[in-house]
Amino acid sequence: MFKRSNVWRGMTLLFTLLFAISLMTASIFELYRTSVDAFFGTRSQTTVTQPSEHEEDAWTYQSKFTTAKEAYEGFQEFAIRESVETFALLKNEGGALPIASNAKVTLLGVRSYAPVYGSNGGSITDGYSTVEITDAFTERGLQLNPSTLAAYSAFFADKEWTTPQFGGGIIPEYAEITAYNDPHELTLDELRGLNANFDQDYAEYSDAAIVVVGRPGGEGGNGYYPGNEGLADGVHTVTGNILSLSDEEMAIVEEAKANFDKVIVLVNSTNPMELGNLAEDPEIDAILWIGYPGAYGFYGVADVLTGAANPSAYLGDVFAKNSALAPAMRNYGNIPWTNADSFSADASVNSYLVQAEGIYSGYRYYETRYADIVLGNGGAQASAGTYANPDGTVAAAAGTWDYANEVVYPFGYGLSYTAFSQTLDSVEVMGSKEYANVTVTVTNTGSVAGKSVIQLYAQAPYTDYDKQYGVEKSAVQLMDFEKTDILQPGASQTITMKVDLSNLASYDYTGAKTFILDAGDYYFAIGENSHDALNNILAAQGRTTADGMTADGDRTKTYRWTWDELDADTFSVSKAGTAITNAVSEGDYAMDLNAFLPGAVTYLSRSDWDGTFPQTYSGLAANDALSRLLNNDLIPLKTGDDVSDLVFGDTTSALTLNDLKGADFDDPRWEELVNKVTVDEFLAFASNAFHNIANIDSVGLLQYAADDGPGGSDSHYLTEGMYQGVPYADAADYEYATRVAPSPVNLAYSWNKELAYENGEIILGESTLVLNLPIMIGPGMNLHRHAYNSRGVEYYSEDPILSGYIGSAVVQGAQSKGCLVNIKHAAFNDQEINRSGIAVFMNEQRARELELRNLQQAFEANGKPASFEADESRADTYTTGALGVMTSYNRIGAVASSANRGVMVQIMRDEWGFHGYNVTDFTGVALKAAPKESILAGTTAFCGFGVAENITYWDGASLSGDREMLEAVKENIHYLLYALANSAAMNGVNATTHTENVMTWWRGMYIALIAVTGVCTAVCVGGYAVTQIKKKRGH
Amino acid sequence: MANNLDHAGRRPHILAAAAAALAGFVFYLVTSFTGYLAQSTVNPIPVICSVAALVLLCACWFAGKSLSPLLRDLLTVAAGVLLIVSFAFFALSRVSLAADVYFIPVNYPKAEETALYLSLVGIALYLVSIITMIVEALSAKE
Repeated sequence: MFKRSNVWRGMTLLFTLLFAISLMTASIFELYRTSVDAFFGTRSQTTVTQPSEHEEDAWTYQSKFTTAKEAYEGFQEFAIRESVETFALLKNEGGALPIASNAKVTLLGVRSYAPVYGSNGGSITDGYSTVEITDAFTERGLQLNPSTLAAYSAFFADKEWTTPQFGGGIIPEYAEITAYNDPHELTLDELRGLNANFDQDYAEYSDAAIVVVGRPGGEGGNGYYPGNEGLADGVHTVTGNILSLSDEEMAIVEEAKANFDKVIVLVNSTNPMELGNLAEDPEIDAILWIGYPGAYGFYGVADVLTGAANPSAYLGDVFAKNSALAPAMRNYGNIPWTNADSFSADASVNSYLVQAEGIYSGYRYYETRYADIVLGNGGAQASAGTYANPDGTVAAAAGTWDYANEVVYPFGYGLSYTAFSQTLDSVEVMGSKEYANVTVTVTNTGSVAGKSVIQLYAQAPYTDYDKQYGVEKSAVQLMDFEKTDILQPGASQTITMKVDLSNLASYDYTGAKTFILDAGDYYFAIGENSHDALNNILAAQGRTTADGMTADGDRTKTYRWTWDELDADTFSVSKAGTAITNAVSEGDYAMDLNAFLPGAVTYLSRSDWDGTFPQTYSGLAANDALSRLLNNDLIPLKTGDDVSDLVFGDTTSALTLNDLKGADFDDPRWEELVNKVTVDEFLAFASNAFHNIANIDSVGLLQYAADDGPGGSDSHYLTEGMYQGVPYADAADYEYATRVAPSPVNLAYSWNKELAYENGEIILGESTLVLNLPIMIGPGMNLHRHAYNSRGVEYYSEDPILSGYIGSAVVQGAQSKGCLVNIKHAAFNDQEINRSGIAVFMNEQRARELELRNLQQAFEANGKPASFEADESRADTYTTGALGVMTSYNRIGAVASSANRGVMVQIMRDEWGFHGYNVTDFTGVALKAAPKESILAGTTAFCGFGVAENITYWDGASLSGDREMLEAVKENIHYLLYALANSAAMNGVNATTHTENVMTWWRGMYIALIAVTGVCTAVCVGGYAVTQIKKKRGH
Repeated sequence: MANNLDHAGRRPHILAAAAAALAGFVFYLVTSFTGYLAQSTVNPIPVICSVAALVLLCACWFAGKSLSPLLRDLLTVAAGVLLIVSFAFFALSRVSLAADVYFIPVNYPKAEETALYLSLVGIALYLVSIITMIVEALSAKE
């Protein structure tokens, strides 16, 4: 056959094709090397260091784990310890809980067999590590009804846990029951079909029925929608919303009620569910919110159920009867620009979000409207469709707004197996107005040991000035919190908090155009939750249940003081010394839609609750001013500027980045070092930032891997683990990840700053050290605007102080281990729907008092725990704010978030003193990220797949005539090098440190393919030539 | 192998390969100059190689039996290689679209998804053309 030329001819083409495909594979794999590593769990580059004389000095940050076994056990130990503090007891009638440690219980509900362990995208719980609920419960001594278990087991017998869309490993969830519009609860008939005798052992396992209900959450997909839009065909729920229980779930609850004396419901959701019917049902004995407990968290759940641990969590979000009636929900979802199609596709113009609720999201709305009704200030009258009936359904006619119909569990709510008393011992408001010292004593008055939380709230006066200038005030707002140690029965603990009063100031964007303190009476109040604290304030104002209060308050738990004059000075300058004035109210970077479309938006005001209740702002077209910004090409690149004095690529200096390890931002050597970097080096670094820190050779910066996310590394495993550069000897035995802790929502609900600090140390910090990942993309710190954002699982709370202080603690803990955090997503990433490109609008008061105040705490290193303040050995903590941030997909106002100079420069860099690394979310260098404008706004890197083909200026020559741009490049080089010099990127680095490629299996594969197909092609060409020669000779 | 000449002495594989290549080329041009990639710089290599390949295929088709066997072989292989180069660069230029759409759950623009799927059709057509040329090359001549 091979004597015939056609065979060689055909084989030549065939192998040429295979050769080309091999080359393409190699090209694609190397281009997306970090992504391929993430997908396959490989590591294609490694950092190699030869020992030096002063080796110990080089290791600034030291892991506590020297072996894979230690790491595995350390992460597990912390995850379990964290978990027991994160479950909020919402109902416990007649001491239904705890149950006996060896109780015989019946688990019911599809989630009792397949609960939601963690996020389904972005910091997913590690499936390899996960201890299943039934195993954890059994190991802790609970005896489970085998017949119900057999039914659920049969249902899942042919199903497997799924794999993540992004990252590695296994998600401990079944795709078949994971949807945002259907709880997929099994009916009793289905259970009977799976096991005809599923109910035969009820009597034997009757100590309690434990019903588990849950809703998944995470990155990916649009998430939850309210009302019918959010329900799959055939799904019906109690309130008509997916966040209340479906008919099938209620049937399981009724089954439990009918057959068991004690019914316990576990709420397995990080989206606040609508639980009014369960809360009011006397046959439901106990409700325990467990959120997403993580890989080992069901050990903790069992410990709380059995009393081995006393629950000490408190809700960080309000749980409404019908959360779709929150004013924020009036503007949610896909509300497209009517002229969206007129923009180029790569500008990513889709929809907008008008946050017309102003500051009244979460508990601020419910509690303030309640207070106004009690105080006789109006608010009771409500239009149809804006308030709830007693059963939680939407009221179809105008009527009366009633707090009892709106709120099931207020913000800060949680019960314990013991009782505590709290006394407000003293309050000392500093003359400067900047701080107050508040001392509270907590006493365990019950019979078992437990922890309590001091929740300190405040109220600022709502004055005529406010009404004139549109300044809104919440009737109650969290100011600070502290968790006690474990208090034995009868024991007390006194804690003094240094309360930052800047968080009491209101942002006046129309009058003073800065933060103000009104003249009038101010209150501090402690309380068991936000509603209780408000009732205490109302009691101090002389109100009782006769005025419509839900319960009488305790005025002894309040402190009142008066400031006589409007103060627009005290908080008009930031802690970094920058004057604070409007940043997002006017001009290109405005977030207030009224700046572009005057009079278009009416913001919710407590001066007229019903009249200003938000409408849905649909059907808007972007006018010329908006269109210019939405195009993301708003600042022309200049040419011809004199830039002769700007130095790039200086080769005369011998300085390296390692010489500035740990240096202050103001160290004069930075200029010399920054001058060494060329513009092209910076651009290459900036465009190669997908889970990657690119090398900058001129300053000796090596290449490193980075990884998502807030809950630990998404893609790497302890099999890659190392201690001070030396791989773990036992690594091969531990294919487990570090993403094992309960969800961030759980962490926030612990209200424990010290625990959050430790979470940062271990979950982020040790991920950095063990896996050599100098950057960890986390924590997630967007506020919960409402209950429906499925991504809310990655964020902490609806409240800026709870979220801000927990996030700040995580950042501090992580940075203590050298983790360069990327707080995400700055800012206003409030929904997944159209997240890439959605234009988010609000007034500056809302922006500054909620989302930005929340982020500010982490950037300014605020919220230091009282125990740290009192501990000399902790003096070096909370000294440096966050050194890294990731911006958001959504626009801030009309421009890309990373290009909004109002937020990125005026507020973050100038007011907060942020000098660190600023990376975009997964945009790449593409028009949707407004690359040149983002560089001007301090962006140091663009996460994504490189430079889009239509970005034609991404080279030094193109930028060389724009002085402002080159100055920004220099500044950004300074920011990124400073951040990396103060991170684990410099850990253990000495003169010998270098990066080496690793022969991963996929590299071996494509090299082999190239070699084989290349040789075969050559052989075929040769074979053809030989046949032709022979043919010629034959002729 | 069977003789693959039609009764006019021309080879139907060449015609099929040319038709598929032309269709793939049209998809390349359409996705490059309209929709999501309209503002992008067009990689000229697929254009040059595709046009050259089509010229060679036309030469093969129309010249028919007038070409020497060696020249015909060279033209066939050269056309095939040019199509492979076009295919490779076309595919590589669309990897970023696939990465955006498939790799991470981003709310990518619908136009990007459209550009990707049209490109996949075009890439598949090039592949059909190349495979047809391989079949042609493997086929015995008279």
